[in-house]
Amino acid sequence: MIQGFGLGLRPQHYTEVLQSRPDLDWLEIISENYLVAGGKPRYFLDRIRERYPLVMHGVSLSIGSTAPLDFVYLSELKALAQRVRPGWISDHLCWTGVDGLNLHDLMPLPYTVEALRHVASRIGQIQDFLQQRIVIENVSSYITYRSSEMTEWEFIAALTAEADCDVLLDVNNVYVSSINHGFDALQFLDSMPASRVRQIHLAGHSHQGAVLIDTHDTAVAPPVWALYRHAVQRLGAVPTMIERDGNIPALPQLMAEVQRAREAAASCAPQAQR
Amino acid sequence: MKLSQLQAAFQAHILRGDLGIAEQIEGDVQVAKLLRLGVYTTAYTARLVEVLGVSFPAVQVALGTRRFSEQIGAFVRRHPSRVRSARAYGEALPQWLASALDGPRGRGIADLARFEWAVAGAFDAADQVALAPRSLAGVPPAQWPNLRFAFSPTLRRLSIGSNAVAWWRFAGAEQPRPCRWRETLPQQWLVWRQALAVRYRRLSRIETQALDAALAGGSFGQLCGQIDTPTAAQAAAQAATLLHGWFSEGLIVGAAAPE
Repeated sequence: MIQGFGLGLRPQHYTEVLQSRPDLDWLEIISENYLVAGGKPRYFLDRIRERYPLVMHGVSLSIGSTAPLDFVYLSELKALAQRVRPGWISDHLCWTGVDGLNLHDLMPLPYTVEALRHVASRIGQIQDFLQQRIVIENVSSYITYRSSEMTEWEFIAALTAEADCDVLLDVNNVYVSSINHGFDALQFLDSMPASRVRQIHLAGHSHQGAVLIDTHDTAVAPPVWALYRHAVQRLGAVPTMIERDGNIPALPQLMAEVQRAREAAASCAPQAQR
Repeated sequence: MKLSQLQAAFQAHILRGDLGIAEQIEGDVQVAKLLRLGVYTTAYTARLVEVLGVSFPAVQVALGTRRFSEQIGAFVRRHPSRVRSARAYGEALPQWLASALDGPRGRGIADLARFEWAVAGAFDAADQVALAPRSLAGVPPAQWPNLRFAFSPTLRRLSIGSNAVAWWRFAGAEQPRPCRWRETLPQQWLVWRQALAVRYRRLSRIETQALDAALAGGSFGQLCGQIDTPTAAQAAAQAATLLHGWFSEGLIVGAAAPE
């Protein structure tokens, strides 16, 4: 059972993770990095798996797309899961393309009843295929659709109930979207279905004029730490990790952020970790 | 607007600049809405340029960062991605560079891109256990002419008519900067992965002929026939030397003499 504090595994740190055995309870892999035929990615994956529990995090499910589900991808994902035996498999509440094209981005969904039913149905198919409950992450967004009929947090709560899936709560994404759209981030956190929140992501963002961008290329920002402490107070010590995708620093620098998350959680939720 | 229409409109905005999606976005000021949508359009191109920078680092060095962004940005705008993994997106880039760039430098950079794509392909191609040279020790002499070989799935063969590999080595800080881009007679190159390390080397004319015959499914006997020597015994000896080298380099993953 996955507990405690983890880090997003990146190729820059493969050797150091194996040699220095950093004090991590688990690591998260980007599933797509290992959907390759062979070579270094799979070599290091197997060795790191011998030493750490892993969870799988993908970017290609395109759960919200109106294009057909990609069962070739799902088959590859299932085979990877059989190799990795992850704590869980997660992906994003978004769409990535239609009509055979791929935008390679986490595109936002309108929060409508139509979208809710569509996504819930697809999650059901995916869970049936993978034979496990999946974990869905809230994404950052920069636009709001006129057609939305509910808030993002209402949509997520309804989706988890209808689809019987879990939540990967990205606290940075909550903060970024709250600034971009002017909503109350605490209300978002307070509305999360506590029993469904399986994992927390902490990451950095950057400013582009008046808009915050979910760049994952800086340290976790102070307002995000404050929201994290609030989340832990409400949700308990949910397995938490630092997610870094750009300007990737040396491992000790990321470990310092992991330690900060440990200390923040300990100060807010002295109860036993999940 | 139905979800499918909304997604198609948003995608059309990102790929072609169509403005239909703007009506579906909250906000009273068109400029502000377009700025918000611009986050997605900018990110689309920037992400794929970044991905191609990872797949083609030497092309980036050769073109320079600014020119690379311009040139590759133009490629991205003309080639909507149809691949699931961004890692696979660069397959068409070498050919596109060949058509977009002129002169010896342009042709050289296109060669460089082909070479880098071969390196990237070898990097995570399928693992297959290579046979050791001693694997053939027990093969009776009479069966040798019929021996056929299976090669590593990591193997890539390239014909390059420029000094692109010297530029590739320069980009990897393995040699000084070449004086200029230079066209050459076609040179034959081999790229493959041995264990976890991607390797490459230039092939001689004789090895090219022998290797290409073997890759095409030719037998050891046919491979000997590709080697132009005064006697058959000399050809066999030379072929055996080449074969030993291929085994030693981890290029051969199967050998059998069909009945």
